[in-house]
Amino acid sequence: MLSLGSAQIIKRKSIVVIEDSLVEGAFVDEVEIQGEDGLWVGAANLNQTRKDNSGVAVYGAWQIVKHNNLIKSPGWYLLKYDDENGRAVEIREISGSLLAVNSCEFKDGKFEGGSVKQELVITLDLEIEKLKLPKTQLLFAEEYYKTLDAKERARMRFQAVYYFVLLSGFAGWYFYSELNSKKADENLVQLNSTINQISSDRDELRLSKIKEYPKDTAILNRILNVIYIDPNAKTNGEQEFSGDIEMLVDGSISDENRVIKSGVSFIRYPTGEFKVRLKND
Amino acid sequence: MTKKFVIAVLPFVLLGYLVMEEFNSVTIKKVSVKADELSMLSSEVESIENSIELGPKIDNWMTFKNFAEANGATVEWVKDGFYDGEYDYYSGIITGNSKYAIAIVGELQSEIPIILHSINILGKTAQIKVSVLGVDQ
Repeated sequence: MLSLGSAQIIKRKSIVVIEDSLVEGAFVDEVEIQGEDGLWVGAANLNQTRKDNSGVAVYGAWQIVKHNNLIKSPGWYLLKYDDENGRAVEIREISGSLLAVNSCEFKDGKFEGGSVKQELVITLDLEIEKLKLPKTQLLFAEEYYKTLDAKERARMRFQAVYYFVLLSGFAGWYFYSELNSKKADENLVQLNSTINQISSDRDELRLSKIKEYPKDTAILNRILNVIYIDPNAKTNGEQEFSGDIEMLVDGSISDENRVIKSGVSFIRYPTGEFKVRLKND
Repeated sequence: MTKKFVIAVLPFVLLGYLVMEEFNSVTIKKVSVKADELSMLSSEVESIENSIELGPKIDNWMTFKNFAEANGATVEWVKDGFYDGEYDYYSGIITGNSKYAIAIVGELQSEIPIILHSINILGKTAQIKVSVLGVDQ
């Protein structure tokens, strides 16, 4: 059972629950609560409750019902403040939404005004200690807008810090990259300079040194061999040392085997002349 | 708020870290490639330093010419030359008795750098085109 108007500790928080309504016109001095979709309270009641319970958060009973989604279908709902008193609200489904359209007081065990069929009324059992409390307590318009301003300021502060950190991060990263890039470039320039210097030295050195002297001993000996066999032997025109050497020999058949030993290929012409190809390897 | 802030900033921090790591990796690769190049170059220079000195080309040429002529051959200097390599050189044609001309160039090749280009033997006479290498001083 609800305990209206008196402070209680719910989930380590001091709160007071007061009477409110989901339908306009329930209180003489009613004001609409800002930040809620259709919630009214008596202004004097809210002020007095705050005065009596300084520093304690004030919530509305129906505010808690709505926040915990206790109304799930159309019909009349009764929220009792004690055994004999309370407030009933009629909920209808309009365009797919459940909306409060009527309300009436439940006084001394009877519904005052409205066409309430008592047997169809759903009584809400509000075990407040088991329910979630709304994020904001009951606020008058100016209080609500102050809260919004404070939230907006906090959000802007957060954004300012967020972007500052973000930009600082990017700036830091950029400068770090630049620094690294410069260092790397300097290293690479120095390395390239060293490489160029050594390349230049190498080119100069290379022109003054040779790995080994050219050596054509093998082919020269083969030519000499042929000449020893036939002193009149001649080359087949001018012969390049880049390839095999061809020689023409006027040898007799008895010289044939000796000449063959000096060359790789051997051709005997009908004229009796041999052509010997000397391998230059 | 702190939690949201951390969640919001964390991806950027991680992204920045990964980008920097990648950047460093690229830099290291570049430097590494250059260092390898330097190492190869140093090896090449060391190898060249251990090679044989060519000596002045005029000295080599005169050695060749004098030795050939002392052994009955003639040497004719050819200005345009036959050699198209990187060294400095003098080119010429040695003419003489086939056996001697061949023996002369064979003998001298062990003492001075001589490149043989071609040989033409006709009627016991040989003509050999050569280039004597050396340093231009």
